[in-house]
Amino acid sequence: MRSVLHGHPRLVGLVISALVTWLLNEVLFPTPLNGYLVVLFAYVGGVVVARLSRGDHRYAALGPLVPLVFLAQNSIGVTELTQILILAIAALGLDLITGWTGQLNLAQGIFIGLGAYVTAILASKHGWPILLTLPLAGLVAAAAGLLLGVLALRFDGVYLAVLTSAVALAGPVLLLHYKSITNGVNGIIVNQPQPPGAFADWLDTDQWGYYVTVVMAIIAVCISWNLLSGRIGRALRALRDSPIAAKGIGVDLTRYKVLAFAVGSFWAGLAGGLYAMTIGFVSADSFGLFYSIQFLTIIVVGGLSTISGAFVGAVVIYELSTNVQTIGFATTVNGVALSIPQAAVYAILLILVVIFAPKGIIGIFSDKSDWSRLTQRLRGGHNRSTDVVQAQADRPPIVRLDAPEDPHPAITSY
Amino acid sequence: MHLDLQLITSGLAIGSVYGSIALGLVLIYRSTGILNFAQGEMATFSTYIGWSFVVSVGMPYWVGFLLAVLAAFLLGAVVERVAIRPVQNQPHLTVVIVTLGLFLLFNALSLKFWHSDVRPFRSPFPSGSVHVLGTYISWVSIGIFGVSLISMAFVGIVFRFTKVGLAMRAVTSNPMASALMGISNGRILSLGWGLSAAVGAIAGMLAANRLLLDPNMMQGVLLYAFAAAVIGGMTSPVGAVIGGLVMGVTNALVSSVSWIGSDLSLAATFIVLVLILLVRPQGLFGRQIEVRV
Amino acid sequence: MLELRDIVVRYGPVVAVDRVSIRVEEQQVVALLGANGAGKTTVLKAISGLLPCASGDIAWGGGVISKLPPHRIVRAGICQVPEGREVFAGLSVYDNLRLGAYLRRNRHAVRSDIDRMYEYFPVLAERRDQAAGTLSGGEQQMLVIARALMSSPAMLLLDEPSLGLAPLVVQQVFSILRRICDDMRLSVLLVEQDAETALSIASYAYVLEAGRVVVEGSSVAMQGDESLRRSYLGY
Ligand SMILES: Nc1ncnc2c1ncn2[C@@H]1O[C@H](COP(=O)(O)OP(=O)(O)OP(=O)(O)O)[C@@H](O)[C@H]1O
Ligand SMILES: [Mg+2]
Repeated sequence: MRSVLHGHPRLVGLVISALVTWLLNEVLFPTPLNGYLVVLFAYVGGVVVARLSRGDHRYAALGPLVPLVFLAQNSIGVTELTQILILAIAALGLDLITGWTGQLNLAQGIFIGLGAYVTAILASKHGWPILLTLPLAGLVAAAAGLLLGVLALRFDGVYLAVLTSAVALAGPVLLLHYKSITNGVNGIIVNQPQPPGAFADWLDTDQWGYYVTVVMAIIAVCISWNLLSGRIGRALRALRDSPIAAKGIGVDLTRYKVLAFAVGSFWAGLAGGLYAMTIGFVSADSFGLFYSIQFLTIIVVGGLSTISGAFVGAVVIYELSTNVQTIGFATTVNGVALSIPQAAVYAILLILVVIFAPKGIIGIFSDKSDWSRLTQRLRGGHNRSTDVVQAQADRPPIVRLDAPEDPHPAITSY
Repeated sequence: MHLDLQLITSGLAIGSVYGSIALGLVLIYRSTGILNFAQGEMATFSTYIGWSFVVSVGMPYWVGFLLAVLAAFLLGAVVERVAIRPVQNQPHLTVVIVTLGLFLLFNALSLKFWHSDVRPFRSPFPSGSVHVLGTYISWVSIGIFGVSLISMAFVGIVFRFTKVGLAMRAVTSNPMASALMGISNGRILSLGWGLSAAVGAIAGMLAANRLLLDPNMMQGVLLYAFAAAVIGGMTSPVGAVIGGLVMGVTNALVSSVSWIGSDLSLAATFIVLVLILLVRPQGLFGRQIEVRV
Repeated sequence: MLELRDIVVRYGPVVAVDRVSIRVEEQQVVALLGANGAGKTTVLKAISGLLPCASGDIAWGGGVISKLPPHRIVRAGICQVPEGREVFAGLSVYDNLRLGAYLRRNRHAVRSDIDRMYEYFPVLAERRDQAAGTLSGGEQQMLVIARALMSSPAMLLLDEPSLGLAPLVVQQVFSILRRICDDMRLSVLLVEQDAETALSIASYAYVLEAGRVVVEGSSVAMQGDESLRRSYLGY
């Protein structure tokens, strides 16, 4: 926690975020307000304060987590928000593996599944209190992730993609096969936990699930932050930007790659536990390759190697995958009604983002050059900066050694 | 595990389908370093096109077949031009993400146009069997195996003996030098994608009767094809085809063992894949590729 | 006639070639000299279309070619022998030569040209079925020159053909080159570290320094100017 809260400006940014949220939510707009607006205002407020007090504005990105605490009463649906946060936690984990250490992992979905099954089995079949199963869900997934991470050391690039996609394709089949443990295609039903005594008067089940998720998300962000802002963060950045150079300056590749896999899978498992708890039903076919690709999409669309990217991506992808049909991508071509299915929109978005904005949404807004590059590409223009023109002035004289009458004698013999 | 000739031939038939998809993967990988996750889904999509020609329009099977292959060829070439070329020089992760996007896209399009219910697609081969060496081998198996092999041999001939094939090998070997020979690298790569997609479509058409045509038909196949391509070291076309056949036969034999069954054979494939990667990362046929810094 | 008019070539923000103007008349051999990193290769790559010109243009045979892709420039009759023996390593010597003639339709003429290359470079004939990657460095250099000639270009861009060759082989390669230029009525733009040899073949030369032309003149004049030779050409 120390490095997160170190320095006043960041703290002030957070407090302001909280205040702005509270104001917006309770005083100015007592009626339900679009939750995203609240989050946005709070974030902007945090950034402004952090900037004015010359703090690092990126830390104010924690701001959006603060308003989340207050959003449960109105605004967007609590269940919706819960699912977004769960996606974000798992995406945070995947970003550690794929964004930060550059190991393409197409099996994040199956680790979420693992966590979900741990929670579901312990809670439903053995009567454990659900909150107690959550760390265990994370640890089981982390153990599996450790194993995959050790395997992954032997592979890179395309082979790792093959390996992890094989895990993603084979995993659900295996889960379905061992019916005695997983109930096969019938899945496992989980009873959603009731809020404990002290909270029972204020909160319903959904709200309780939501707050548990918020707390987990905050823990995940804080730990990731500490991990990524210090020495390890620098090492990981070096590793990502140039693996071979990083090795040259003595960064221990092996340790960090495996660590990233283990920690990243822990978040997946935790997210899986929360999934089981809040959805109330776990079935293996939800955790296949498509599900894994969804997390890759989240971090790419949000912005690789950024913590806020995982959250922004989660919002965009969640909204997209639930609302695309109603957003109305239906068009008519030559009088024939054509509605583009949701996954196709999703796929096209993914392709467009990597082509036009390789740093994702966060990249577009935080990096000026990225923004201008995007608009330039859209306009089809070329990037010609000014240094050519400037260079015109200092052209040196060319020494000519020739008699002027015949500068280019044609050659007929040697 | 009994070495049943019937099982082996049926394994060879489906193995030739795996081999075809693996061949497509390898053709693209060795010339561009790209792993095309959409290889299977593009094949499914093309198979649906063939299905529409044959079943909905009512064309003779082989006419529909040819049209589907042609459509696949164009599709592959267009995909290369539109989606792959803009990211060609981007980091590896970016390109993989694009092919994953294509994977989603074609899956979604198949689902959109032809829905999720299984479409019966009759086999073009006679339904009987032929009596060989004391067992019966179905004509369907012989047909799938034969046509796949012919299509793969055709690819081999194009590569080995035609000018276009020579250009393809040149682009694979040294893109800068090939551009200086007057070869349009872009066009050759488009052609390569087209060829891969066409081989995939043939595999899809042949497998449709056996695997049952639905939008997710090729996903299991893709895993086996990955394994086959890895056996071939990702760069050896012949290795990929042999790898496919090996996967098909072992899979048929392993599935026949009562306590394993077809579910676990997928997992067994995965284990085989990991073992191969661990013991011989360059594959059983491939050569070691230098890592570019 | 090839004419570069004030071309600028950049690698990202770095200007590697700064307003360079070069002229090569028909059937003339022109040398492009300069120290390591002066930008010689970059100029050739810009002519071949492998690198875009940030400004300026390149005229060839009455048209502007600076916006064309590499394969169109080859079609227009300009062929480059790239630096560093860029053979098609896995393909046979024969296939390498065939690729040189990729754009030519007349099979008969191609076959007789291959025979002619075997005549110029008998080693290649001996190794015609060997994989190009297994040739010795000098043999590979001969192969890339022969391969470029197979396109029967009007203009040859040679990037350090003597690099890494034994002195005796250098003489051999250059004398073959001379013969070929006469036979095929070629124009040549020759990039060389070995200024002395280059000037003995070329009639005109440009000296590049840090991306700019600092001296240009006839070979005779350059050979005669001792201080210039000392300061720029190093012999
Ligand atoms: N791909 C590249 N990216 C960035 N800079 C480059 C690149 N290629 C060349 N340069 C730089 O451009 C300048 C000119 O390089 P160029 O290869 O044209 O030199 P050269 O005259 O051919 O040298 P040499 O005689 O050593 O072959 C050098 O400073 C080099 O570092
Ligand atoms: Mg050079």
